[in-house]
Amino acid sequence: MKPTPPRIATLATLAAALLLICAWAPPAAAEPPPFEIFEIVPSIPTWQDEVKILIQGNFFAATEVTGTRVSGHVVTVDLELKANISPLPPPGWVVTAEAGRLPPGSYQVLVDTGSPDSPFEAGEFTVFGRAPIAIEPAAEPYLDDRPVLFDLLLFDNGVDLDVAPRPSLGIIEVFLDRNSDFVTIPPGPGALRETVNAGVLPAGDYEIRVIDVTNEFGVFSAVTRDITVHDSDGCVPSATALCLGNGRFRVEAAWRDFRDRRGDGTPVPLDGREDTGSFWFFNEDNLELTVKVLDGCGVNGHHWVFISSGSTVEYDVTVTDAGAGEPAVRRYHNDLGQTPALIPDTAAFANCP
Amino acid sequence: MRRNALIPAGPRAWLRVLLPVLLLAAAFPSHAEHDPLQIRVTDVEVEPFLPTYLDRVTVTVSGTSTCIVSPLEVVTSASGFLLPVTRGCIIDPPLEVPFTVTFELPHRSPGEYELQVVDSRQDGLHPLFESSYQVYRPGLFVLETPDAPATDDSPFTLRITGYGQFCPEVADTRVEDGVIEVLLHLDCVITTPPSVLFTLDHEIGPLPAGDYDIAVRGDFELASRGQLTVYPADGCVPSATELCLNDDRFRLAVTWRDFEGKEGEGTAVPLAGRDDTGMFWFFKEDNVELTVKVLNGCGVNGHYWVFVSPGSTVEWELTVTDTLRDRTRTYGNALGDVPPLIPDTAAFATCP
Repeated sequence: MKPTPPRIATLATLAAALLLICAWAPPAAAEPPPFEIFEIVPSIPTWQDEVKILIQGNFFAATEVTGTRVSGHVVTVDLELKANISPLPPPGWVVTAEAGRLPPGSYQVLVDTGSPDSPFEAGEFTVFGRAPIAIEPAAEPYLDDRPVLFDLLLFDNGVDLDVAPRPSLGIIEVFLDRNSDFVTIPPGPGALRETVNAGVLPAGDYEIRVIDVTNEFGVFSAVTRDITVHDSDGCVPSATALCLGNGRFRVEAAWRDFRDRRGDGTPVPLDGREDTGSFWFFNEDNLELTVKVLDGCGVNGHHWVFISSGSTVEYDVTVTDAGAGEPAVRRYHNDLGQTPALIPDTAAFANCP
Repeated sequence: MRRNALIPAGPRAWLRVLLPVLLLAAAFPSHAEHDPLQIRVTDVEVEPFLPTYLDRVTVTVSGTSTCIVSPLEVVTSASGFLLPVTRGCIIDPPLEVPFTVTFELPHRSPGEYELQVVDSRQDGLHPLFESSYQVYRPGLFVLETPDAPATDDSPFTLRITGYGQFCPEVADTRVEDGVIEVLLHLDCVITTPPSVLFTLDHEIGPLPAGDYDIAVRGDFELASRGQLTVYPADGCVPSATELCLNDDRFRLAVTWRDFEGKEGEGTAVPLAGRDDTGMFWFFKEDNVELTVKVLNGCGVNGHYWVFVSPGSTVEWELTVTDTLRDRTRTYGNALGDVPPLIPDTAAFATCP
């Protein structure tokens, strides 16, 4: 047989490869459904929760939720399409439907726009029973350089635990299976305390989800609790340290009164307020300082510190930026007996962002 | 009549019999009657109110004693708890002083438990205090108080939501000593239905102004607890823009105007557990602009004091009203001024 010249062989191989490439077609990108569940709030709803269904639309449209109907295990969301809005919002818009409290079970979500094609399937979600379990976090703040441990308290003879931390999602899931042959009602003679080790986790906010998969009475039950893992190099809250600005800034206060007594201010974090906190000196009910650390980077390239005082005693406030490489420190002072003015330091820290 | 040989005859004979007894009594005094070192328990408080088996239960024992009283380890039995207290007397002569000791009880399953406080020196047969408390089951129904503040001139509705194989109805309602107690009948007399999600709206009141604990108890040792404040309708009733301080006697409201001429009302931020201090925000919930305290300085200078700690250089006007005496004070800041602390220790001469 006459040998094929190498060049031709190469070309033939290339041609064959090209043919193969042409013959192979990538799988067609799945057409997104017109509607899909974007989020269920709360993420692990029980029958005690008012459930909100956030629905995402995958086409150009302006819509309004006009009602929500629950029939058995089907939740139908009525959407009105608005044609007189220009330009129409692009795909990815989200609307919120209130489903209220629902008995435990799985629910199918339908979207009814009134069109002949309606209703459209948007997805499914589960409502859990309320697990009679207490999640008890550790007394000390969680840090990102040591394991996250917490206790589960329940009444049973024993349980199997499967711990699944998912740091990227901010979730620590614990699946719990009661391995006792029977569950006494009312529960047995003593408490069962199980310590769960979720391992070392990156700093951030986490939701602990304990899901009891024993499937009593045909439903799973669940309980959740939020915790924060702090950056061990950043601000860690303590009896004297207030952390503001997502744990980046540490604020401390020391005081001296008219009788020359001295002490550290006790921080009072304000629920849901990341930028503002307070201190008391003498009496828990009597707040003496309110401190704000505001992100003014977009205005003048600085983080701002505002201190409003409720006291004429002497005090020193120290604010440390612990989150930008070399820690930067600013100090503020009030003399004994001086009526302090608001301190609006809009040039406190130049280390944006 | 034949005399009993054990009964002495004549005063000297009585003395011969009684003297050894008196000497013995002096040598070994009864703790209950002759010991000058006494413990008197005046109050025993179990927290939380209406505990469930998931709660950490603490018992606080208060009273007076001639010595130091400290808690020993809780002694548990199937029926309850023994709370022994010990004492080391350091005061001579004895001086009665108040004491408070706190115990944490182990978690227990639902049921009623005895609670005895005993002097650890004694045999436990004569407790200093005896009581009982109930542990409930959590989680099968929840209690919701009204969204709008309840006032003393109109009834309000408590909502009870539950899930289970129940036939729920309100059996009784009692209001006593600051406790609203709702008794639920949950058991089904004839047949047991499948599990249902139920909601009961139960109207109560009007009730006198004050703070109330709410106890909802049901069959099967189920319970849910809550708290409610009933406000005087002609006093300070908190709202989105009105803050009530110092036993809800003082009403505070603030208006603001910013550098762009925008105007608005401050949003009130009550601080849980702090009756004298509150806050307002103007533009953004996270950014508190005013911290305000109303302090009772009656014992110092016969006035209520108002301390305003501003956190903003915009224009604002704060109005503080003593609703009991119908007096008003206003405080303000001009646009652009850096405001000082306002320590007004002569704000209201309306003591008490």
